[in-house]
Amino acid sequence: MVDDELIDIFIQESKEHLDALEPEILELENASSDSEGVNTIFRGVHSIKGSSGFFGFDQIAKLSHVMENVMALVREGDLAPTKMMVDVFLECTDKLKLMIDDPQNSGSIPIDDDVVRLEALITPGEEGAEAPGPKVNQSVELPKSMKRFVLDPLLIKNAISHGHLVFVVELYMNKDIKDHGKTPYDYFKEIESLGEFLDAAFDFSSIRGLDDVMDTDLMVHFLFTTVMGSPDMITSVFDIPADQVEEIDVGVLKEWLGTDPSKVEPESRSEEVFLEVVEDDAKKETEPAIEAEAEAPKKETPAVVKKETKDQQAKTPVRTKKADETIRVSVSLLDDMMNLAGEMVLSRNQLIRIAEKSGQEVSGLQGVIQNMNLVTSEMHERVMQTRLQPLGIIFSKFNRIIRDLSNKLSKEIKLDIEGEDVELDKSIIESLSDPLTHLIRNTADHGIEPPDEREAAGKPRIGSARLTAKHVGGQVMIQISDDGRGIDAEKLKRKAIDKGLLTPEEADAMSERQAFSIIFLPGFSTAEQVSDVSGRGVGMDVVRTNIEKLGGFIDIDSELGRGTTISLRLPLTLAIIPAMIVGAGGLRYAIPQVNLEEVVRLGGRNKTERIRGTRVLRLRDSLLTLLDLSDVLELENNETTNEEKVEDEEVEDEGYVLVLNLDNHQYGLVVNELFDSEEIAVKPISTFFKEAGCYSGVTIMGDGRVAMILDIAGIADLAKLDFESIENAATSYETEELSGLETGDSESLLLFRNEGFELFAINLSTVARIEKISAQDIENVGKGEYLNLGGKSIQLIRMHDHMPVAQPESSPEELYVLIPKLVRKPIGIIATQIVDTVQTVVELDKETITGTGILGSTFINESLVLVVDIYNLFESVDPELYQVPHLDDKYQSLKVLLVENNIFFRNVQQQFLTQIFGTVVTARNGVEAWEKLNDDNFHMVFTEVELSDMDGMELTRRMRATDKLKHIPVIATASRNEGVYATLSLEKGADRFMMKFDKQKTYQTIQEVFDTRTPLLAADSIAAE
Amino acid sequence: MTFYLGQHLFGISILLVREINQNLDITRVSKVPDYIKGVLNLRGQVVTVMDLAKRLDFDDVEDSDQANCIVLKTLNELESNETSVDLEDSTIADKIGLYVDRIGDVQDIETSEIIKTPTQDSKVDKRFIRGVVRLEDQLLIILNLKEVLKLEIKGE
Repeated sequence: MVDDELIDIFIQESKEHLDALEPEILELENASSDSEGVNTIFRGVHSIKGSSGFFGFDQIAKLSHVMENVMALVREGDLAPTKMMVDVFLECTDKLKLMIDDPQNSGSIPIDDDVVRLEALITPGEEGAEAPGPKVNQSVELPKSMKRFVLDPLLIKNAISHGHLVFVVELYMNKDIKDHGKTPYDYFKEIESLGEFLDAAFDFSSIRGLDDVMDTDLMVHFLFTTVMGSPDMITSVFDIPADQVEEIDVGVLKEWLGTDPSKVEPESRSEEVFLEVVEDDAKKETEPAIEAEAEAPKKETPAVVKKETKDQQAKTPVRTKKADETIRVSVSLLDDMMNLAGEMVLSRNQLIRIAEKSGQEVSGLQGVIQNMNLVTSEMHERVMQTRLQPLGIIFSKFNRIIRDLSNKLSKEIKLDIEGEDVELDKSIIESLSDPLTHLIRNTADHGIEPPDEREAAGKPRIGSARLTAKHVGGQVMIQISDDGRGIDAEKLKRKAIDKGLLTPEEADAMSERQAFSIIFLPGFSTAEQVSDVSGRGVGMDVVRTNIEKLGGFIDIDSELGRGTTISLRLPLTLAIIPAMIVGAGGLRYAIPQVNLEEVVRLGGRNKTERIRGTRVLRLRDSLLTLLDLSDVLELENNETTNEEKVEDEEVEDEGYVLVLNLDNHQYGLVVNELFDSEEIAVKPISTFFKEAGCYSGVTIMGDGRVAMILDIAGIADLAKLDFESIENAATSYETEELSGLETGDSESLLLFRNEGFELFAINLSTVARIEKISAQDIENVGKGEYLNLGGKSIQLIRMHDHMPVAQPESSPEELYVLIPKLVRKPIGIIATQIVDTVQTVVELDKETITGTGILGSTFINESLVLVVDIYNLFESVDPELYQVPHLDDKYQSLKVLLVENNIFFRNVQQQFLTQIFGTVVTARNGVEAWEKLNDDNFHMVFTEVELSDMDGMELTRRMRATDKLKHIPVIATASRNEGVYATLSLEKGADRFMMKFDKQKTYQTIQEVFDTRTPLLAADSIAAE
Repeated sequence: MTFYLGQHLFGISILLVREINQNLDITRVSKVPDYIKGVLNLRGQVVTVMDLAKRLDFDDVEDSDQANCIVLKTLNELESNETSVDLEDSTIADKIGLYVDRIGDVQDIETSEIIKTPTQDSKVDKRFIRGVVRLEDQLLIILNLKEVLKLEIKGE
């Protein structure tokens, strides 16, 4: 019957209209006065009505017609939009979608209910009343050609009163529409630009006379009104023969309408009006051309929106001008273009490579290649752009989803959307739709509380959700946030334990952020009740998998009671990505640059170590787990590596470490060789390779060889890399190394000389600042030396006056003063030379060299270094000030726990505490402290606030939550005077907060605490209850 | 289309063959079934190369310098070509190349000549065989590519 191709276009265009008008329907509720939105809806349904008439899809036409009537009234201001209207319209839109999906069978879908409901909107009071409009005079005989149309007297009357003429035009499906390369919509738009479309009728029986060659061509009649003065104009505009145009006598129509002809002024149709329309059209033609340049050509927007009648355009400022000048290109064609562009990039790479070798021989070749290089890059970029689509395409439906959900869940939710114009590759957009829908549903279902609960929590009844997209460093960041109840990390942990997904120990060691990622574990659902909206527990891990498949990351952050934010980071495009080409086991692999943080060359200072069988690299302050690519992939090591293998340790420190980023984790991948960074075209891998789980694609490199693209997450999985446990191991290892001075450890030391030859070291963290002074600046007062520093006098000391070190022969003019922190009264230490600051492993020898102010000696870079104990030094300098209070031995029977992560501080503190207490047990971190607390009994706990894993506050909080431990006094200490620590640690239940190293104060504090609390052993405390 | 693995002659329908390639610059890929020899670049297309001998568990192979890669048409190519639509055998959507020892001749075989029941003493797993044809001097084994190309999921 009707050409399938045309129907396809009809389906496509109608869907676009529906997509465009749906958000506007939702807007109706909020901003009823926005006539632009109303117009969009009106025009949308109007267009659908018109074109469905072309094809004779009566049901579609009927429904859209009634919708149009309602919208017409809204547009005129005769009807105010209501929630009811929005509901009905949304349902009708769905119905239209359903019918348009399969228009040939649209007749079988019942629409009567919808029509009745729509009509009820128009006349809520009157039952079964007809749409208001002028009564028609039935006795007037209309021209024959008009009988086939459904006539809307209101529209006709309006048109005539504006001086329009009425025409009936016949169009042939093939001859006039298809052969002209147009679609019914194009005609429809043309009509709309000339006047008002009234109705169309599809004539099945219209087979023309024998004189017509195209006698099987199907014919469409349509009725429209226009300001055009003569049938000639119509024929020239539509490019059809004059006999297909019929002018209807306006006089007859007026009679039919029953209006007094004298009241209508046909002469108001003046040349002026006509000219304006033409001008308007001319403008439209130039404007979109410019816009099309700026906007991505792929942007598909309903063109009808633009076709405003003159007065409407004047009334409302045009919101967004949308590109008109677009052509439709099938996606498969774009895909092909994408592939070809990829090939071209590769060929270019090959060409450049060849030209590098032999280009000099051919004159002019270099220039051409350079030019081609640029053009290819440019072209590639443009082709990529054609595939970019605004996120708005999928974002827009979320308004609807949120609306439906809030109705269903009886919640009040407002969704703010930002960044709809951020563009992403089509394929990414498509695969994002489902995960995002899931996340949005989750937000509405679990995130935002019911209004009453919100009110009780002191929040506004209306929950707000935000969906934002923005560009962040070559990637797109999409965030979904809400102000709902947030995620309870502890609850998550308990649940995960209940479900056997975690062991209690694992859960305990988890940080809050790590705990949030429990949500992504397969088989985990947090909803207490599974609802049909979300929460079957299959969701979040699928979401994560999908996002990762796209080369993206997902991250979750939440604050209990305040809300949750889920962030997605995605690459802009999938097809061509920058990648690092690396070599391992004689083969080459590509690693997506997005995963790559940095590259570290092994050897020299970058030595790898083994901890509990895991190879690690110390990178700045943290330990990085290493995986050897050739081990993971079980690569047969080629001859060279085999030989090297024999030398064992030596081999280990060759090659490069790629520091890779995976979610919140990092790991290092060891490769043998590092090649270039290249733009590679990603090709899908064969199913045979998917099973391996470590490849995300394959590419052809510049030299024509094939390289597999590594899937970073897959490799980690393959190596069974368990980040949680490794990170824990790393932390405990880090602290383990700090255990005792004997085992040696990495510390930041400041090396300096003090007039003599000895090299001194002082823990950098105890130095407040270093001043450069001249010897003349030193003032002598009595026996002491002082320095005026910022208006304050600071006592200076020379090491040799107090310590058993060599006396200097002379004193240079240039001096440095080290001013330590954490002391009662600042004393400056004079140094003649600041040698270096080193991060080094200290093997402290406490025996060989001893004396006042010396903690011990060690070798750094093969020189002997004296490590200074400034606190001890200062005591000897100013015994009065630093006088250690008389220590009672009344606490000698007590046992205390000292938690301190810095070895120097720990030693100093331990020394002092041992003078007060019988037993001082030390712990290097929160976890260790926690274990010791549970295994042993203590009378008091001293804990540093800043600890690497479980901090002092958390430790205190846990103690207070445990029956056995809640009676133990806790003194929180810190080396930095941060007010927040004081309040926080007291809030968490610490008895006191104090700065370290003030022995007097420490003693005083201990006494105060024990004055108010009887020292009890933890075991006693339970007995005492 | 016939080819040799060792001294044995095998055959597949020539309509399934896209081309024969002697560029054997195959990139190895690890962590895949051992019958996957690797990937090769065929004018910008990545072709997965299957070592047919390994796939058929056929140890009687010769180390020849006549090794060739028979690149098969993809399922898509087959479907868009009307002449091959009614073939009994088919390939898969991926671009696959079969690594063989030596290429034989193209022979015209009538479907009726194919003996459906393969001989019992065949060295090759029955499911990979569509049938055999008695040629003048030797036996031609017609492969069932559908089975050959089927991916076995680990653990099956």
